[in-house]
Amino acid sequence: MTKKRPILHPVVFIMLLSAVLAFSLAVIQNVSKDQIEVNYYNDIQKSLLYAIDIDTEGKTKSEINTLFKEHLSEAKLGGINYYNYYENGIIQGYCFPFIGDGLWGSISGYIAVDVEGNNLLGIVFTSHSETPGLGGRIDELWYKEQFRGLDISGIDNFVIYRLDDEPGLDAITGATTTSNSVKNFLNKSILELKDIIKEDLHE
Amino acid sequence: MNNTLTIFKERIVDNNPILSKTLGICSALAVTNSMENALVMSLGLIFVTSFAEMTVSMLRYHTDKHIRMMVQVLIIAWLVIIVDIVLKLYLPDISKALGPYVGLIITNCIIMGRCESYAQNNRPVSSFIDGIASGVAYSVILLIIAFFRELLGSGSLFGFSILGSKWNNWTAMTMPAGAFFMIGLLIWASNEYKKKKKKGGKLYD
Repeated sequence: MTKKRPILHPVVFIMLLSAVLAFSLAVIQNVSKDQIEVNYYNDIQKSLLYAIDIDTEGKTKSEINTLFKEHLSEAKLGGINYYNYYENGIIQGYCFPFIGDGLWGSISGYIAVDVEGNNLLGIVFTSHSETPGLGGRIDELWYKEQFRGLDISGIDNFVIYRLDDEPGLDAITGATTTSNSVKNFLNKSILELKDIIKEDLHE
Repeated sequence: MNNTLTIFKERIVDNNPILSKTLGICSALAVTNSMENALVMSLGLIFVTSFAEMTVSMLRYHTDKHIRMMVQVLIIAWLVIIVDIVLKLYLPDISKALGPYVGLIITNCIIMGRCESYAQNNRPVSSFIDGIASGVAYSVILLIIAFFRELLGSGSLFGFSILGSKWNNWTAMTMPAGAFFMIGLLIWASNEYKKKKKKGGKLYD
Protein backbone atom coordinates (compact mmCIF):
# COMPACT_ATOMS: atom_id res chain seq x y z
CA MET A 1 0.00 0.00 0.00
CA THR A 2 1.33 3.44 -0.87
CA LYS A 3 1.91 5.88 1.90
CA LYS A 4 -1.01 8.17 2.43
CA ARG A 5 -0.25 11.78 1.58
CA PRO A 6 -1.12 14.39 4.16
CA ILE A 7 -3.97 16.63 3.08
CA LEU A 8 -4.73 19.11 5.80
CA HIS A 9 -1.27 20.59 6.17
CA PRO A 10 -0.58 21.30 2.48
CA VAL A 11 -4.04 22.78 1.98
CA VAL A 12 -3.73 25.08 4.96
CA PHE A 13 -0.17 25.94 3.98
CA ILE A 14 -0.93 26.89 0.40
CA MET A 15 -4.00 28.87 1.46
CA LEU A 16 -1.95 30.82 3.98
CA LEU A 17 0.84 31.40 1.49
CA SER A 18 -1.60 32.57 -1.20
CA ALA A 19 -3.27 34.88 1.28
CA VAL A 20 0.03 36.43 2.37
CA LEU A 21 1.35 36.87 -1.16
CA ALA A 22 -1.95 38.17 -2.51
CA PHE A 23 -2.27 40.59 0.38
CA SER A 24 1.22 41.98 -0.14
CA LEU A 25 0.52 42.39 -3.87
CA ALA A 26 -2.72 44.17 -3.09
CA VAL A 27 -0.87 46.59 -0.82
CA ILE A 28 1.80 47.30 -3.44
CA GLN A 29 -0.83 47.68 -6.14
CA ASN A 30 -2.87 50.05 -4.04
CA VAL A 31 0.08 52.22 -3.11
CA SER A 32 1.23 52.50 -6.72
CA LYS A 33 -2.21 52.78 -8.33
CA ASP A 34 -2.37 56.56 -8.55
CA GLN A 35 1.12 56.96 -9.94
CA ILE A 36 0.54 54.24 -12.53
CA GLU A 37 -2.63 56.00 -13.60
CA VAL A 38 -0.75 59.27 -13.95
CA ASN A 39 1.87 57.47 -16.05
CA TYR A 40 -0.89 55.94 -18.14
CA TYR A 41 -2.57 59.26 -18.95
CA ASN A 42 0.78 60.86 -19.53
CA ASP A 43 1.52 58.14 -22.03
CA ILE A 44 -1.77 58.70 -23.88
CA GLN A 45 -1.11 62.43 -24.01
CA LYS A 46 2.39 61.79 -25.33
CA SER A 47 1.02 59.44 -27.99
CA LEU A 48 -1.57 61.95 -29.16
CA LEU A 49 0.98 64.75 -29.28
CA TYR A 50 3.26 62.46 -31.27
CA ALA A 51 0.44 61.79 -33.75
CA ILE A 52 0.12 65.50 -34.51
CA ASP A 53 3.92 65.82 -34.69
CA ILE A 54 4.62 67.76 -31.53
CA ASP A 55 7.88 66.75 -29.92
CA THR A 56 7.63 65.66 -26.28
CA GLU A 57 11.13 64.24 -25.98
CA GLY A 58 12.65 65.07 -22.61
CA LYS A 59 9.67 67.13 -21.44
CA THR A 60 8.28 66.73 -17.92
CA LYS A 61 4.81 65.43 -17.22
CA SER A 62 3.37 68.85 -16.43
CA GLU A 63 4.89 70.39 -19.58
CA ILE A 64 3.33 67.60 -21.61
CA ASN A 65 0.01 68.23 -19.90
CA THR A 66 0.19 71.95 -20.79
CA LEU A 67 1.10 71.19 -24.41
CA PHE A 68 -1.74 68.73 -24.57
CA LYS A 69 -4.29 71.24 -23.26
CA GLU A 70 -2.98 73.86 -25.65
CA HIS A 71 -3.30 71.73 -28.78
CA LEU A 72 -5.92 69.09 -28.21
CA SER A 73 -9.45 69.05 -26.96
CA GLU A 74 -11.63 66.04 -26.56
CA ALA A 75 -14.89 65.82 -28.48
CA LYS A 76 -17.55 63.21 -29.01
CA LEU A 77 -19.16 61.97 -32.18
CA GLY A 78 -21.58 59.09 -32.37
CA GLY A 79 -20.13 57.43 -29.32
CA ILE A 80 -16.48 57.81 -30.36
CA ASN A 81 -14.17 60.04 -28.41
CA TYR A 82 -11.90 61.94 -30.75
CA TYR A 83 -9.67 64.96 -30.42
CA ASN A 84 -9.67 68.28 -32.24
CA TYR A 85 -6.22 69.61 -32.96
CA TYR A 86 -5.70 73.35 -32.64
CA GLU A 87 -2.75 75.55 -33.48
CA ASN A 88 -3.14 79.09 -32.01
CA GLY A 89 -6.84 78.51 -31.60
CA ILE A 90 -7.41 77.53 -35.24
CA ILE A 91 -8.46 73.99 -35.94
CA GLN A 92 -5.83 72.06 -37.89
CA GLY A 93 -7.03 68.49 -37.85
CA TYR A 94 -8.53 65.58 -35.97
CA CYS A 95 -7.21 62.60 -34.04
CA PHE A 96 -9.36 59.51 -34.25
CA PRO A 97 -8.86 56.27 -32.39
CA PHE A 98 -8.55 53.08 -34.40
CA ILE A 99 -8.47 49.43 -33.55
CA GLY A 100 -7.61 46.47 -35.76
CA ASP A 101 -6.48 42.88 -35.61
CA GLY A 102 -2.78 42.17 -35.51
CA LEU A 103 -1.11 38.79 -35.51
CA TRP A 104 -1.62 37.98 -31.81
CA GLY A 105 -4.23 40.45 -30.67
CA SER A 106 -5.77 43.77 -31.39
CA ILE A 107 -3.68 46.81 -32.21
CA SER A 108 -5.05 50.18 -31.20
CA GLY A 109 -3.86 53.72 -31.57
CA TYR A 110 -4.69 57.08 -33.10
CA ILE A 111 -4.71 58.48 -36.61
CA ALA A 112 -4.32 62.22 -37.08
CA VAL A 113 -5.55 63.80 -40.30
CA ASP A 114 -5.77 67.39 -41.49
CA VAL A 115 -9.09 69.27 -41.61
CA GLU A 116 -9.77 68.45 -45.24
CA GLY A 117 -8.98 64.78 -44.85
CA ASN A 118 -6.33 64.97 -47.59
CA ASN A 119 -3.19 64.24 -45.65
CA LEU A 120 -2.23 62.08 -42.70
CA LEU A 121 -0.58 64.08 -39.95
CA GLY A 122 0.68 60.93 -38.31
CA ILE A 123 -0.23 57.70 -36.64
CA VAL A 124 0.63 56.25 -33.26
CA PHE A 125 0.08 52.84 -31.70
CA THR A 126 -0.99 52.86 -28.07
CA SER A 127 -1.33 49.17 -27.44
CA HIS A 128 -0.52 45.96 -29.25
CA SER A 129 0.71 42.49 -28.46
CA GLU A 130 2.85 41.78 -31.51
CA THR A 131 6.02 39.70 -31.26
CA PRO A 132 8.71 41.85 -29.65
CA GLY A 133 11.47 42.56 -32.13
CA LEU A 134 9.36 41.56 -35.12
CA GLY A 135 5.78 42.83 -35.37
CA GLY A 136 6.48 44.85 -32.25
CA ARG A 137 8.70 47.08 -34.36
CA ILE A 138 5.59 48.96 -35.53
CA ASP A 139 6.39 51.04 -32.44
CA GLU A 140 9.75 52.09 -33.85
CA LEU A 141 10.13 55.61 -35.14
CA TRP A 142 11.28 54.75 -38.67
CA TYR A 143 8.06 52.83 -39.22
CA LYS A 144 5.66 55.39 -37.76
CA GLU A 145 7.42 58.38 -39.32
CA GLN A 146 6.69 57.01 -42.80
CA PHE A 147 3.04 57.90 -42.32
CA ARG A 148 3.66 61.60 -41.77
CA GLY A 149 2.10 63.66 -44.52
CA LEU A 150 0.94 60.60 -46.41
CA ASP A 151 -1.37 61.64 -49.22
CA ILE A 152 -4.83 60.22 -48.60
CA SER A 153 -6.75 62.31 -51.10
CA GLY A 154 -7.34 59.28 -53.36
CA ILE A 155 -10.27 56.95 -53.02
CA ASP A 156 -8.62 53.71 -52.00
CA ASN A 157 -5.40 51.92 -50.97
CA PHE A 158 -3.82 54.83 -49.18
CA VAL A 159 -1.18 52.71 -47.49
CA ILE A 160 0.87 50.49 -49.79
CA TYR A 161 4.22 48.82 -49.24
CA ARG A 162 6.88 49.20 -51.84
CA LEU A 163 8.85 46.60 -53.74
CA ASP A 164 12.33 47.69 -54.75
CA ASP A 165 12.32 51.32 -55.80
CA GLU A 166 8.65 51.86 -56.39
CA PRO A 167 6.93 54.50 -54.29
CA GLY A 168 5.32 53.31 -51.06
CA LEU A 169 6.21 52.55 -47.48
CA ASP A 170 8.66 50.05 -46.05
CA ALA A 171 7.12 46.99 -44.46
CA ILE A 172 8.78 45.30 -41.49
CA THR A 173 11.14 42.52 -42.52
CA GLY A 174 10.15 39.22 -40.96
CA ALA A 175 6.78 40.53 -39.82
CA THR A 176 4.70 40.21 -42.95
CA THR A 177 1.46 39.38 -41.18
CA THR A 178 1.68 42.35 -38.84
CA SER A 179 2.72 44.71 -41.66
CA ASN A 180 -0.16 43.56 -43.82
CA SER A 181 -2.75 43.77 -41.07
CA VAL A 182 -1.62 47.28 -40.22
CA LYS A 183 -1.94 48.19 -43.89
CA ASN A 184 -5.41 46.66 -44.15
CA PHE A 185 -6.98 48.13 -41.05
CA LEU A 186 -5.38 51.53 -41.63
CA ASN A 187 -6.79 51.64 -45.14
CA LYS A 188 -10.18 50.72 -43.75
CA SER A 189 -9.99 53.24 -40.91
CA ILE A 190 -8.84 56.03 -43.19
CA LEU A 191 -11.78 55.36 -45.51
CA GLU A 192 -14.22 55.51 -42.59
CA LEU A 193 -12.54 58.60 -41.28
CA LYS A 194 -12.84 60.42 -44.56
CA ASP A 195 -16.55 59.66 -44.59
CA ILE A 196 -16.93 60.99 -41.07
CA ILE A 197 -15.07 64.16 -41.95
CA LYS A 198 -17.10 64.68 -45.11
CA GLU A 199 -20.49 63.93 -43.60
CA ASP A 200 -20.39 64.94 -39.99
CA LEU A 201 -17.69 67.49 -39.48
CA HIS A 202 -18.05 69.60 -42.61
CA GLU A 203 -21.66 70.51 -42.59
CA MET B 1 33.55 33.81 0.25
CA ASN B 2 35.42 31.10 -1.61
CA ASN B 3 32.21 29.19 -1.77
CA THR B 4 30.47 32.13 -3.45
CA LEU B 5 33.20 32.33 -6.08
CA THR B 6 32.93 28.62 -6.75
CA ILE B 7 29.17 28.92 -7.21
CA PHE B 8 29.59 31.81 -9.63
CA LYS B 9 32.29 30.08 -11.68
CA GLU B 10 30.32 26.85 -11.75
CA ARG B 11 27.13 28.56 -12.96
CA ILE B 12 28.68 30.93 -15.48
CA VAL B 13 31.52 28.95 -17.03
CA ASP B 14 31.25 25.25 -16.30
CA ASN B 15 27.55 24.75 -16.16
CA ASN B 16 25.92 27.68 -17.86
CA PRO B 17 22.15 27.07 -18.01
CA ILE B 18 21.86 28.28 -21.59
CA LEU B 19 25.02 26.73 -23.00
CA SER B 20 25.08 23.37 -21.28
CA LYS B 21 21.40 22.71 -20.65
CA THR B 22 19.79 24.92 -23.31
CA LEU B 23 17.41 26.20 -20.63
CA GLY B 24 15.65 29.52 -20.95
CA ILE B 25 16.38 29.94 -24.65
CA CYS B 26 12.84 31.04 -25.43
CA SER B 27 13.50 34.44 -23.94
CA ALA B 28 17.15 34.34 -25.00
CA LEU B 29 15.92 34.17 -28.59
CA ALA B 30 13.16 36.71 -28.18
CA VAL B 31 14.71 39.64 -26.36
CA THR B 32 18.23 39.69 -27.71
CA ASN B 33 17.81 41.85 -30.77
CA SER B 34 18.66 44.93 -28.73
CA MET B 35 21.03 45.44 -25.81
CA GLU B 36 18.55 47.54 -23.85
CA ASN B 37 15.84 44.89 -23.85
CA ALA B 38 18.35 42.19 -23.02
CA LEU B 39 19.71 44.21 -20.10
CA VAL B 40 16.33 44.95 -18.51
CA MET B 41 15.26 41.34 -19.02
CA SER B 42 18.50 40.19 -17.37
CA LEU B 43 18.04 42.44 -14.35
CA GLY B 44 14.44 41.26 -13.98
CA LEU B 45 15.54 37.65 -14.15
CA ILE B 46 18.38 38.09 -11.64
CA PHE B 47 15.93 39.69 -9.20
CA VAL B 48 13.29 37.01 -9.63
CA THR B 49 15.66 34.02 -9.53
CA SER B 50 17.50 35.18 -6.44
CA PHE B 51 14.45 36.11 -4.38
CA ALA B 52 12.43 33.12 -5.55
CA GLU B 53 15.25 30.78 -4.54
CA MET B 54 15.60 32.50 -1.19
CA THR B 55 11.87 32.32 -0.45
CA VAL B 56 11.59 28.71 -1.58
CA SER B 57 14.57 27.84 0.58
CA MET B 58 13.08 29.58 3.63
CA LEU B 59 9.84 27.67 3.25
CA ARG B 60 11.45 24.34 2.40
CA TYR B 61 10.77 22.64 5.74
CA HIS B 62 7.11 23.68 5.73
CA THR B 63 6.37 22.71 2.14
CA ASP B 64 5.14 19.18 1.60
CA LYS B 65 6.98 17.44 -1.22
CA HIS B 66 3.96 16.97 -3.46
CA ILE B 67 2.84 20.60 -3.45
CA ARG B 68 6.32 22.12 -3.83
CA MET B 69 5.85 22.94 -7.51
CA MET B 70 2.64 24.85 -6.85
CA VAL B 71 4.39 26.78 -4.10
CA GLN B 72 7.30 27.59 -6.42
CA VAL B 73 5.07 28.79 -9.22
CA LEU B 74 3.10 30.91 -6.76
CA ILE B 75 6.25 32.57 -5.45
CA ILE B 76 7.73 33.13 -8.91
CA ALA B 77 4.50 34.62 -10.23
CA TRP B 78 4.30 36.87 -7.18
CA LEU B 79 7.81 38.23 -7.80
CA VAL B 80 7.19 38.73 -11.50
CA ILE B 81 4.09 40.81 -10.76
CA ILE B 82 6.18 42.92 -8.40
CA VAL B 83 8.76 43.46 -11.16
CA ASP B 84 5.94 44.41 -13.51
CA ILE B 85 4.49 46.97 -11.10
CA VAL B 86 7.89 48.46 -10.33
CA LEU B 87 8.64 48.86 -14.04
CA LYS B 88 5.26 50.47 -14.67
CA LEU B 89 5.88 52.81 -11.76
CA TYR B 90 9.43 53.94 -12.40
CA LEU B 91 10.25 53.04 -16.01
CA PRO B 92 6.93 53.34 -17.86
CA ASP B 93 8.64 53.59 -21.27
CA ILE B 94 10.73 50.47 -20.83
CA SER B 95 7.75 48.69 -19.31
CA LYS B 96 5.80 49.44 -22.46
CA ALA B 97 8.62 48.35 -24.74
CA LEU B 98 9.05 45.10 -22.83
CA GLY B 99 5.32 44.50 -22.45
CA PRO B 100 4.96 40.76 -22.88
CA TYR B 101 8.58 39.96 -21.95
CA VAL B 102 8.04 40.70 -18.30
CA GLY B 103 5.30 38.11 -18.02
CA LEU B 104 7.56 35.70 -19.87
CA ILE B 105 9.95 35.68 -16.91
CA ILE B 106 7.48 33.35 -15.18
CA THR B 107 7.96 30.74 -17.86
CA ASN B 108 11.74 30.86 -17.74
CA CYS B 109 12.76 27.34 -16.82
CA ILE B 110 16.02 28.46 -15.24
CA ILE B 111 14.15 29.88 -12.26
CA MET B 112 12.09 26.81 -11.54
CA GLY B 113 15.04 24.56 -12.33
CA ARG B 114 17.19 26.29 -9.73
CA CYS B 115 14.39 26.37 -7.13
CA GLU B 116 13.86 22.67 -7.65
CA SER B 117 17.46 21.48 -7.75
CA TYR B 118 19.19 23.92 -5.44
CA ALA B 119 16.88 25.94 -3.19
CA GLN B 120 14.98 22.83 -2.02
CA ASN B 121 18.14 21.47 -0.41
CA ASN B 122 20.14 24.51 0.62
CA ARG B 123 20.06 27.37 3.09
CA PRO B 124 18.42 30.69 2.18
CA VAL B 125 21.64 32.70 1.92
CA SER B 126 23.45 30.32 -0.39
CA SER B 127 20.24 29.87 -2.38
CA PHE B 128 20.09 33.63 -2.82
CA ILE B 129 23.68 33.64 -4.07
CA ASP B 130 22.96 30.72 -6.34
CA GLY B 131 20.01 32.68 -7.75
CA ILE B 132 22.17 35.69 -8.49
CA ALA B 133 24.84 33.48 -10.05
CA SER B 134 22.33 31.67 -12.27
CA GLY B 135 20.77 34.97 -13.27
CA VAL B 136 24.16 36.42 -14.10
CA ALA B 137 25.06 33.31 -16.11
CA TYR B 138 21.91 33.82 -18.16
CA SER B 139 22.53 37.55 -18.47
CA VAL B 140 26.11 37.17 -19.70
CA ILE B 141 24.99 34.97 -22.58
CA LEU B 142 22.01 37.22 -23.32
CA LEU B 143 24.20 40.29 -23.49
CA ILE B 144 26.81 38.59 -25.67
CA ILE B 145 24.11 37.49 -28.13
CA ALA B 146 22.40 40.89 -28.02
CA PHE B 147 25.74 42.64 -28.58
CA PHE B 148 26.38 40.84 -31.86
CA ARG B 149 22.78 40.86 -32.99
CA GLU B 150 22.25 44.56 -32.43
CA LEU B 151 25.68 45.50 -33.80
CA LEU B 152 25.45 43.41 -36.96
CA GLY B 153 21.68 43.60 -37.41
CA SER B 154 21.09 47.30 -36.74
CA GLY B 155 24.61 48.75 -36.66
CA SER B 156 23.99 50.16 -33.19
CA LEU B 157 24.46 49.44 -29.49
CA PHE B 158 21.91 50.51 -26.87
CA GLY B 159 20.22 52.37 -29.71
CA PHE B 160 23.29 54.50 -30.51
CA SER B 161 24.53 54.14 -34.04
CA ILE B 162 28.03 52.67 -34.03
CA LEU B 163 28.82 51.45 -37.50
CA GLY B 164 27.53 54.50 -39.34
CA SER B 165 25.27 54.80 -42.34
CA LYS B 166 27.66 52.96 -44.70
CA TRP B 167 27.06 49.74 -42.79
CA ASN B 168 24.72 47.37 -44.54
CA ASN B 169 22.50 45.84 -41.83
CA TRP B 170 22.45 42.07 -41.64
CA THR B 171 18.69 41.77 -41.37
CA ALA B 172 19.00 38.04 -40.67
CA MET B 173 20.58 38.89 -37.31
CA THR B 174 17.53 40.79 -36.08
CA MET B 175 15.29 37.87 -36.97
CA PRO B 176 14.93 34.78 -34.77
CA ALA B 177 17.26 32.87 -37.09
CA GLY B 178 20.06 35.21 -36.10
CA ALA B 179 19.56 34.29 -32.46
CA PHE B 180 19.72 30.60 -33.32
CA PHE B 181 22.99 31.10 -35.18
CA MET B 182 24.46 33.02 -32.26
CA ILE B 183 23.37 30.50 -29.65
CA GLY B 184 24.66 27.66 -31.81
CA LEU B 185 28.04 29.33 -32.23
CA LEU B 186 28.27 30.04 -28.49
CA ILE B 187 27.40 26.45 -27.58
CA TRP B 188 30.00 25.21 -30.04
CA ALA B 189 32.62 27.57 -28.61
CA SER B 190 31.84 26.52 -25.06
CA ASN B 191 32.01 22.82 -25.96
CA GLU B 192 35.35 23.29 -27.69
CA TYR B 193 36.63 25.13 -24.62
CA LYS B 194 35.48 22.36 -22.31
CA LYS B 195 37.03 19.69 -24.53
CA LYS B 196 40.35 21.47 -24.51
CA LYS B 197 40.21 21.85 -20.77
CA LYS B 198 39.52 18.15 -20.35
CA LYS B 199 42.47 17.16 -22.54
CA GLY B 200 44.75 19.45 -20.54
CA GLY B 201 43.61 17.70 -17.37
CA LYS B 202 45.06 14.43 -16.17
CA LEU B 203 42.26 11.96 -15.88
CA TYR B 204 40.09 12.05 -18.95
CA ASP B 205 40.55 10.76 -22.53
